[in-house]
Amino acid sequence: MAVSKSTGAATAAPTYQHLMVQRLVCLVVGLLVTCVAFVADILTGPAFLSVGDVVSSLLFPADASATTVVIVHEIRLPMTLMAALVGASLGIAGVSMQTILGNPLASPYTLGFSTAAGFGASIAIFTGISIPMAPWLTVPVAAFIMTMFAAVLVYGFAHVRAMSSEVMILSGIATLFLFQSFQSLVQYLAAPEVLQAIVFWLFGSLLKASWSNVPIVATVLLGCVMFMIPELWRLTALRLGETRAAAIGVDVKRLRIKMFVLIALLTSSAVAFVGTIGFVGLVSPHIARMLVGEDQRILVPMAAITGAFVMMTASIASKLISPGSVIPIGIVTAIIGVPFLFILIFRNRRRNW
Amino acid sequence: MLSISNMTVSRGNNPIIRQASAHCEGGQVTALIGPNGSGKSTLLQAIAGILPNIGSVSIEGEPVPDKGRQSIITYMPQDTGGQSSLTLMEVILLGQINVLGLSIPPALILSAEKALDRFGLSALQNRALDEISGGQRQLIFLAQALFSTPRVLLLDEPTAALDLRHQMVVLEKVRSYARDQNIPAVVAIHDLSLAAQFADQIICLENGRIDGLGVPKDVLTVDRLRRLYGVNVEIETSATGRLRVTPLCAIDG
Repeated sequence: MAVSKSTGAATAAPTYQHLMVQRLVCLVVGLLVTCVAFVADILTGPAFLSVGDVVSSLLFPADASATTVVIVHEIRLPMTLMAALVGASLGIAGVSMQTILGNPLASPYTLGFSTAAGFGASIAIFTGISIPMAPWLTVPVAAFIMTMFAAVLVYGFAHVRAMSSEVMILSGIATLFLFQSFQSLVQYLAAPEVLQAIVFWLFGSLLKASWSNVPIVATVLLGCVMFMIPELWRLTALRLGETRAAAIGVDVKRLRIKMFVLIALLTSSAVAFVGTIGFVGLVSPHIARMLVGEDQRILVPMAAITGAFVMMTASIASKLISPGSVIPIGIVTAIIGVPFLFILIFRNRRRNW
Repeated sequence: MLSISNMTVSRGNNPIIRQASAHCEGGQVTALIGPNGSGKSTLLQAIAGILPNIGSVSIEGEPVPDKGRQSIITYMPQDTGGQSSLTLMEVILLGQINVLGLSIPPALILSAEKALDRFGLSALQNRALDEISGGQRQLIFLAQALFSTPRVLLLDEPTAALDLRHQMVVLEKVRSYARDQNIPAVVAIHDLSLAAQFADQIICLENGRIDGLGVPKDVLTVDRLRRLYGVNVEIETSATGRLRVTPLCAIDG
């Protein structure tokens, strides 16, 4: 065939194994770059630390000075870990959402989950209620419960119509507007100082990261990944379209429901502790897809790595933009993410969806 | 042998397929013809078990339940554009989705390479689905369907929008695969001359009912085609015994 000659003219056409090696190399390089960002994020802050200080206090805390250990382990490490975990969670949630809805504009926020979290948090801040024994959990739990409520709402709507992607998107966007209105109502009614607290939460900030909430986000992420692994090929099949996936034996409805639940869990655990951080869930799947293609076995971990990288880079930027203070990370993520995306779009001549 | 009995498919209260029964022999190609909206795709999807239906499907006399039927009966949908950057190799591999895990057995990759080679697509194995032509896309989906080693092959308009060569390649592959594996193949098709040329049997659908079933020369009659399609046709038999259907004009009203 004429077309095949043009590709294999100079050398033999690269095989599938070549492509897989390339993609794995990409994944490993991504992981290494993310590790560098991890150390860089811990390095950045008002107190000056050298790379050696940070690495040695991470690897051999017994040998490092007490001050360094406190700064690294008690203050910066939880924030950096939280950035990485939230980025990874949103990356995976985003890539899954785009796959099950067959829509490049989808993200964990499309179905109104984050607005619901915002509303839950606003209500908790507004009413001043608190969970006895663990007041620090009040706002996250409220955000989590409201996200789950939104998920049930979207699911209820969509279930009636066989979980078709159009109905899911439509009911998700309706839910989004509904919770946005509720949230505006709370903001309108709130006293100025309460309003300030609500707005700060909505911006999204890593300052709330601590050794008590980092493990929770990590556990949810790990659990969801475990449940996702058996579905990876079915998700890849869904990229051929609903009918073709069904024709090769994928129960599309069951897959959508399962992924929907996992996405709701990932998104709510991520936003519950750090507030509504947008954009990472939309942009990192696209960056990952351009780098490693559609095979979900590679794409999902790549989206997690990209998400973590964008979040940690945003965290670094949020500390550098105005020295001495930390700008809420939610404000910075898009500023960091958009240039990445554009560079890749311009460098890639292929269609990317 | 594939047997369908009393198959009814409804959308809401509207029956789309009514009481369809038919037999398709192994090694034979059955062409499914009928006007647009007569229910060809719906019937194929119901047989494949991806549309809820009443009725039964059996292979060699053994009933096959809807669930899990896709591993035995392979249905190839009409091409809807392939909005994806999956590579051709990934598309082929998905034909054996039940064998795929976190790692892929090397033997499976080898046989997938051979499958691509049979369709002249091995040089394009790392190309994305949205970078190849419509004809190549149809070939890759057919290659995927055959790679799944079906016991029944159902193809929904596999020759639509293809040039002459690709039409021939696709139908020849289907016929030879059906013959070699001794499995029934059902092909929905609009081109009646092609249907007559490649099919051993023709099923004619009208408004969800089977209107005619039999060898091409019995089913393709001037009267029936006029009634079904609202078109005057000329049907000729060549010296080699081949039927040719030439549409002449649409009948008004």
